Amino acid sequence: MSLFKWAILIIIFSKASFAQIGNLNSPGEPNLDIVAKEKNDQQKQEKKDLTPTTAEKESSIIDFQNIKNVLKNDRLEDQGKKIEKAVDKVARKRISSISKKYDIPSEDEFWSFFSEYWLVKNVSVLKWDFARPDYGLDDSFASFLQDRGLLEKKFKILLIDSPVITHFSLPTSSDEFIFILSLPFIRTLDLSKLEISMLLFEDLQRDNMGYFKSYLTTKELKKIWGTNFYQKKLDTKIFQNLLKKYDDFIFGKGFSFQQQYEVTKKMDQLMRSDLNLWNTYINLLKKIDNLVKTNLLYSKYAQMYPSPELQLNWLVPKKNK
Amino acid sequence: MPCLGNDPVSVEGLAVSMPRVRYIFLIFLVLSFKTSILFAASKDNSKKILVGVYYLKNIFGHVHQNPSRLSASLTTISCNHPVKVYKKSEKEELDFEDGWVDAIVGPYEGFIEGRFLSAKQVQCFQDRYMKFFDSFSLELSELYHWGKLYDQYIDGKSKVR
Repeated sequence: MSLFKWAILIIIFSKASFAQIGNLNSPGEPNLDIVAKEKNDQQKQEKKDLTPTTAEKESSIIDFQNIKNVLKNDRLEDQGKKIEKAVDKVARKRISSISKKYDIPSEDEFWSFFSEYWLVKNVSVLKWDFARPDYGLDDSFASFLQDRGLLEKKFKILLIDSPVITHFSLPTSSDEFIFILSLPFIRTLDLSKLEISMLLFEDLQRDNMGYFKSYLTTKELKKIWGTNFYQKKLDTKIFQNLLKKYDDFIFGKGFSFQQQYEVTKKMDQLMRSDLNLWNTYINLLKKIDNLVKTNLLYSKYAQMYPSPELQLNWLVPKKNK
Repeated sequence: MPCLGNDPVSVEGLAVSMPRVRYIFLIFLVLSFKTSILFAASKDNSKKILVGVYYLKNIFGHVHQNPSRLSASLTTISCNHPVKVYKKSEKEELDFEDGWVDAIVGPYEGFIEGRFLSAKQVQCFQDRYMKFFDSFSLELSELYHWGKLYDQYIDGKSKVR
């Protein structure tokens, strides 16, 4: 019995000690290691929570609101804005000065430039670079215009040593004229200064009526006049085509019958008041008509200005028999 | 005893030294003639009186060798190029409307028609429309002829009487 008792006691005791050791894994009772670990982590976390983040650190050092207030009080913010505006202004000015270089001339300035460009391009055809004589045409034509009441009109006469163009007015600015005049033509006809002035005056009327300009003006040209092509591409084909149009008209197409009729009627209207002048105009047309019919060199004249014979008929109608 | 200054001179030595003297004399003569020419030339240049700096009004222009539009072109200049205008004497009156003026442009001394010059800088076409003008890519011969064009024009203006 006593042995049995001792055995039971030992079993109970050993069980109890086992339970003491085994309770680590039992859910009901705490595990000392884990607890210690958890405690440690908690402490670390608490410590971490207590230490400020970098943002917090910065915010604790830089108080933006405070600085803003200081700047406001010191008017540094205004100063900053002023500087910003000045910089912006300078940048804008710089851009505008760069973009200004890309301006395209207005219609008025364009024609003056382009007509001279055409003359330069056609120097070998027109033969204007020669020892030209000085006939005093500047004074005679200026006084002719003054007599007709056309004041403050600038003109440039370019004598050419070729019969390829007899006389023509190129498009320019509104208060200026560029005339081409063939020296062989005026020499062959033996024209007086008054007759030359009349010939130029007729060209001036054609120019005023804008026949040639309207032939040359295209939609593309109208679009670009007075504009700017900064950061865009300028289509230079427009100018090549324009050069071709100049050539086509001046060396070939010429004026239409209707246009020539209108010019002749205008000349008639302007000359009628002075009979001497009107007679001089009639004689001039007769001279040209005769030249065109007899001299092969000027046979194309009637194609350009159709035609001296018709002009004479329009001015002096033949009586019906 | 030899006396000072009474050394005997050989006849041969004298014969040799005489052409040398002549030669030196000749060089001296030539040099003096040259300097006199140079002096005269510099005197002629210093006579010119600077009237002022003027600027070319046209798109292009020429400095001529002589005061004639038919004379050779020394150089082609573009609009607003500065031109030093001179006159020969204080009394000389320059005609900027219908005459020629003495002009110096860089190393070139020549003549320009007064009507092509302006006392103040002008607003040139090629400056106002720089990129547009550049787009035409003018050749050298075209620049030359453009300058010539203004020489060839017979300019006029009808005025109020």
